[in-house]
Amino acid sequence: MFRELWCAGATRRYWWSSFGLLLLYTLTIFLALKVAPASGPPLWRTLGALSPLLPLLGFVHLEYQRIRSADELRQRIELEACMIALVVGIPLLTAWGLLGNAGLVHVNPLFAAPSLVAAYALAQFYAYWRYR
Amino acid sequence: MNNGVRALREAKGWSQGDLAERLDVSRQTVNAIETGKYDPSLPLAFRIAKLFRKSIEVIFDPQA
Repeated sequence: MFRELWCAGATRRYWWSSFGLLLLYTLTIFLALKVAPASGPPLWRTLGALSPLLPLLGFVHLEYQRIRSADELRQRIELEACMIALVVGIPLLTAWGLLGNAGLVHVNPLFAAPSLVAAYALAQFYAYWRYR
Repeated sequence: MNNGVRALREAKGWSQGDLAERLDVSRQTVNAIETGKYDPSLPLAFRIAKLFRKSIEVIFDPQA
């Protein structure tokens, strides 16, 4: 049932595009974190450090198009999932930041966005379940 | 909100998929409307009413 809902507004092209963008994102984030030089011209270091943003923005655009082309129930499900993720995610991320500021936890802020995405994915699952 | 979409669809001998195709929505949307889990938007309600040649008030009962 969940698979049917996922596929309802999506095309094979969407899946290949999102797979390609996520692959590119993984590659660029690896390069930015592990390979990018720690010294050199600031412009190149900045571009290298921010390079994962390009595939990420491409993925956001792809998701935007997918939701725009979905039918009204699907759009409602996405909206509910987004709201649940924000309601749960914002206090948790704020607590994370406050604990980090107090020196109680040491987690790379890069994990904030994936955590929010994970919360969104879980919320999507719940929202789909509600309208199953 | 109660509605008579399922009865009207079955009277036509259509599956949920058939109706979904005619309304340009997903089968899940049709199912959610029929089971009362989701109330359609006004444009979709008008499309449903037009498809079955009924008025919206006949198909959808806001009292329930």
